Amino acid sequence: MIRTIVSDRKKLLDLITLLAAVIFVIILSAAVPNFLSLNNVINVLEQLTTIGMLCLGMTFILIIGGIDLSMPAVLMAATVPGAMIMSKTGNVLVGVVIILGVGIIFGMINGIAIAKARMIPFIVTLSTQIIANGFAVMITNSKSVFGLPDVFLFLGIKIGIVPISIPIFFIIAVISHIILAKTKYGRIFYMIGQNENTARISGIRTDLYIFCTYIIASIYACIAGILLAARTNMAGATMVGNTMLTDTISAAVIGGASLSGGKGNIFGSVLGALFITVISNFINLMGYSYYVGLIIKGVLIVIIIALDRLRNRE
Amino acid sequence: MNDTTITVRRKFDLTNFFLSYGFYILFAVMFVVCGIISPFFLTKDNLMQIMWGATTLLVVAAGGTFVIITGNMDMSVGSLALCSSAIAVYAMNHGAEFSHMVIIIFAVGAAVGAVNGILVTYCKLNSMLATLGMMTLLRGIALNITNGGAQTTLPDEFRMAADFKIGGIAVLIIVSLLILILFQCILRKTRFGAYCYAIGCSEESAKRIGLPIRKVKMAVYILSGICAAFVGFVTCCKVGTYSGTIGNEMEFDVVTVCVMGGTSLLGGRGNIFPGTFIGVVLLYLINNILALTGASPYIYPFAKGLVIFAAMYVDALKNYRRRT
Amino acid sequence: MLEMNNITKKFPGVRALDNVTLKAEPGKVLALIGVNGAGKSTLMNILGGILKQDEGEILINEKKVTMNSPKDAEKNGIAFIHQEPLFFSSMSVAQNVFIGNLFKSNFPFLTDNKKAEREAKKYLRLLGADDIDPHSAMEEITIGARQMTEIARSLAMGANIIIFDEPTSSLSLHEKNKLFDVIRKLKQEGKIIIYISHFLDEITELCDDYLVLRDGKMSGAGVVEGLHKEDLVTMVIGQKPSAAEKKAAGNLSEETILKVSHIVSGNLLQDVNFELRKGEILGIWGLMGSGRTELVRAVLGLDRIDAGEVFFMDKDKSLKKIKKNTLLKKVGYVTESRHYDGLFLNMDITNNCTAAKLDNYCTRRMKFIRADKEVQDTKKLIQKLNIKVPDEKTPASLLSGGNQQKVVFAKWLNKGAPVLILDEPTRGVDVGSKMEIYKIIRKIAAEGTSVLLISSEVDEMVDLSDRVIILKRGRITESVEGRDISNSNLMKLALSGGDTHE
Repeated sequence: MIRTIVSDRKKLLDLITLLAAVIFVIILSAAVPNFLSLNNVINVLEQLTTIGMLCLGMTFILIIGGIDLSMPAVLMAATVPGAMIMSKTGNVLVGVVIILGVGIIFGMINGIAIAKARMIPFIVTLSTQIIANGFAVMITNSKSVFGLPDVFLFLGIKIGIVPISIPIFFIIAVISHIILAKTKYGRIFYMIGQNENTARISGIRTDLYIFCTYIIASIYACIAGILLAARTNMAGATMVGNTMLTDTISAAVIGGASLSGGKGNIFGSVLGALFITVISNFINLMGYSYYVGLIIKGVLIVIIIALDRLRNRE
Repeated sequence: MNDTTITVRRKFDLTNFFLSYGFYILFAVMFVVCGIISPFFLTKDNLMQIMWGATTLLVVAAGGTFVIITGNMDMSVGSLALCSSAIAVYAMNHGAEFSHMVIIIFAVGAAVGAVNGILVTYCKLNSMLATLGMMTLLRGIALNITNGGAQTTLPDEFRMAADFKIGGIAVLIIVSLLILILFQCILRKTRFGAYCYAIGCSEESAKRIGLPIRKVKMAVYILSGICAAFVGFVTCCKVGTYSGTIGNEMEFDVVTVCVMGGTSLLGGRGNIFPGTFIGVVLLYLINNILALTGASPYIYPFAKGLVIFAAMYVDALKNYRRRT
Repeated sequence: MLEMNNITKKFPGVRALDNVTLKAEPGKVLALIGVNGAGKSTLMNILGGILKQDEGEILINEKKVTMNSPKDAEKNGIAFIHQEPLFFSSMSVAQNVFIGNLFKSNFPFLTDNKKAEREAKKYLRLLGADDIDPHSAMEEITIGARQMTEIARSLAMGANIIIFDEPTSSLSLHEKNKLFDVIRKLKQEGKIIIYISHFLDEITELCDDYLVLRDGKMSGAGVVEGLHKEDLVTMVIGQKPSAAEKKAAGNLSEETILKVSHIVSGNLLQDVNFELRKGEILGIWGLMGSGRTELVRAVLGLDRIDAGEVFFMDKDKSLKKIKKNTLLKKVGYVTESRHYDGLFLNMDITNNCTAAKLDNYCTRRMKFIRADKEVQDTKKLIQKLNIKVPDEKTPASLLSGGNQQKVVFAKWLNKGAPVLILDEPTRGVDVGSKMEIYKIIRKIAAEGTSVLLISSEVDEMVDLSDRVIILKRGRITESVEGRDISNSNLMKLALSGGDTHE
């Protein structure tokens, strides 16, 4: 009986949320002339790929009960050296390997410190964020890298009017969803987030899984970096803005993930990322300044967190 | 038999000693090494230079220590520093004088702190997420009302406040240190301080014993807000102009120095003096010595990151031992 | 004199309390007994001002009082001593004692920490706990000492009515005796004491009066003296308990399935050796602090082993040395605290039941989970263990303690582990579920599973074990079998000797 009450309430709130989202889109499309035009939709989806990729990684991290503040910084720290090699030698393969390599090294630092030395994820990733940022600044001397090879820029081209990065993102999202929702590994991630001690007693190598999760998150950051660099034909220590971290975490939380772990799903996270992107797009189309955008975003984040809190109230 | 027990004990204490004071040892070693590397390092001028740089972070980190000890976080401090001074500048453009501006800066700090407090205590939101939202919001407001943070010249009184010295020491440094000592006293010697630790140790226990949790948390956030506003004020004084870079990335610096100084993010543990104080000084010391040795400025953030990581690692080892 | 007259409390659809009357006199200990969900906590929450009764009144010294908040209860001199002591780990004992009413010093705004320490010492001496240093941090002292600190706090707050809510469940025998002395002392001073416990032994030992609740109704009240334990059990569970079925002896196999040799770990475990045979229930008996849980954790590789080896007989019928971290994959472990590391509280029962055997529910290649098979097996387990739940999708957090513990058992039964390690398998479990859990343990042992049993309850040890090894200060001193496993003998072995090494 208790359960039915709980689940009914949850369903109702989910319904309300969905309804609110639909109304929101209708209002937007009525208020903004070009909002639902094909060009704009594609534009939104293209912007979605960066924050969306980061958000996928963040979802994994939040599900196991961690947090990764270093993702946007790792994106830059990994992409920049790879881009430098590529623009110097023109060798795409080496460049991509370097990008992934550097990313994985940062993921490993996070993973070892958190899974083995039992450090608090917030602190570890805060430190690696500073290191990664510093690394990107150091090797570029704060200058951007241009002139990436054509083969690499292929990732940024469009098929018809659809940029290739959009299908790539959605394919990766679907794969991530299947891993999390349908496989043993996904179940184990949720178990670790719910109660790490119980998971360990149940015979699961929790340290190994936590370690891997941080590497997975870094790989997502690398892919996001590759797609972004290909789209903009540049890489540098400022290639993602300093709101990216807040946006990523907010998007995942909007999508149902919780900072206390064990909750979240890919579908929600993609929607969350879409929501954040749409807001930015809306502000652009309305011709508001970037600063008004910040205000709107800030208010929305607080409201959504409050709604989420209502939804999950015991 | 007796002898062995004694040796075992002593050995145990020695390792413990290194771990407990690992951060202070690291600090001392860095201090000595810096002194050897650069003869200019240990001069009074240079040390004053470090302190002068540290004044902004010192006070806001002291306020942040309170928040973290209660087991919460305040990620809005940097934006709040910017926002409070932006509103003061806005008022100046509409005819406010120096004294009004100072009042506005601190009033905004207290007000925003109260909003944070309400979000965390009454709306029961996750403190990190709620203040992250506030961070975005406040930055937006600040940049919006000052045309994207365009440089604005402030009244001369700001500059004069910065130049004001007692016994050859800038009064801003003295005030910061006094605030630090005062806060440490509050933390250790008053009922409010004891409640902060109690809430951080176990909010559930504090609730069941009937401690005024909401009031304490509100007070802590208001305190943190006022401290953040102080940063805005001091930065304005130092530079004499307002710009959109005030308080940039400060929120993470605050967490970093608090944790380096031994304050636990889990709450209930930590102190302002010497912990947070040394954390702040260490952070500025890194930049200082790199500048003295003439290293490329692009190395600064990387070097800073490495030292922070090392300090955090030592702290983690200490906690690891405590747990096992 | 505390009276709670004709208290009735309704929750949506349930009468949590139905016309319950409680009378507690100064200088006496009143036992409040009942299975989980009988209404004990509801009654105490009403007294503590957390809930409000629908009908009935509370009288203290014949004056009617209303409790609207915990603060009101505190003002009326009511204090709770909880199962898990409330405390602030990084703060000093003195601060913990006086956190509710810190002393002002001569300077305005400041507190007088020195005076707090002096006063704390006074209260602790009153309780006969002189050995606790008021200056030391709470995290550095034992659980028993923390409980003493909590009692001192309630006295410092001026409590006259003290409620002990299962206070002994994490205490050692020595600490428990000390606590009983303190309660007796408080009784002599004329305090009103309400003592909640699952342990019937404790009630006959300590309490003067009793009140039994069952399904929100009073099922018995009176004087403890002259009361038979069986009658008490009948009042608690509503039926005569079937006489404990003693397992038929002599069907033990000689095969050893788990062999532990020369284990040294930490400062506690010294050269521990034992063998676990196939299908036997081996009890590890010792006082709290003798290293029982530490031994199990070391064997399983959860804590570091400094020396020694563990051998395990896998499917190939030969004892093999086992590598660190691999034993956990092969055996089952019901831990001391199911909330800490036994359950996924917010996951449904299905996920809990299949957690230890996920591979069984995966497709071979892509490791997709087969949800239908999971549900099928869980339904079977629910039936087999008589777990009382609406359906298999209920989150574990909504179950009562006894049912939660059954879910933990279900997880391991589902895994089909050849060895099951049980650490306090019936802690915080009501009498009814306890009997059922005993039955389960006997059944799986009869089916050939080897059980390693740790328990602080001597009756449980005697009832279940085929063989008992005595652990004392991290060493195994003795092993007893058959008739030698008796209540008195086990107590004697645990308490006597063992100090010769020091």
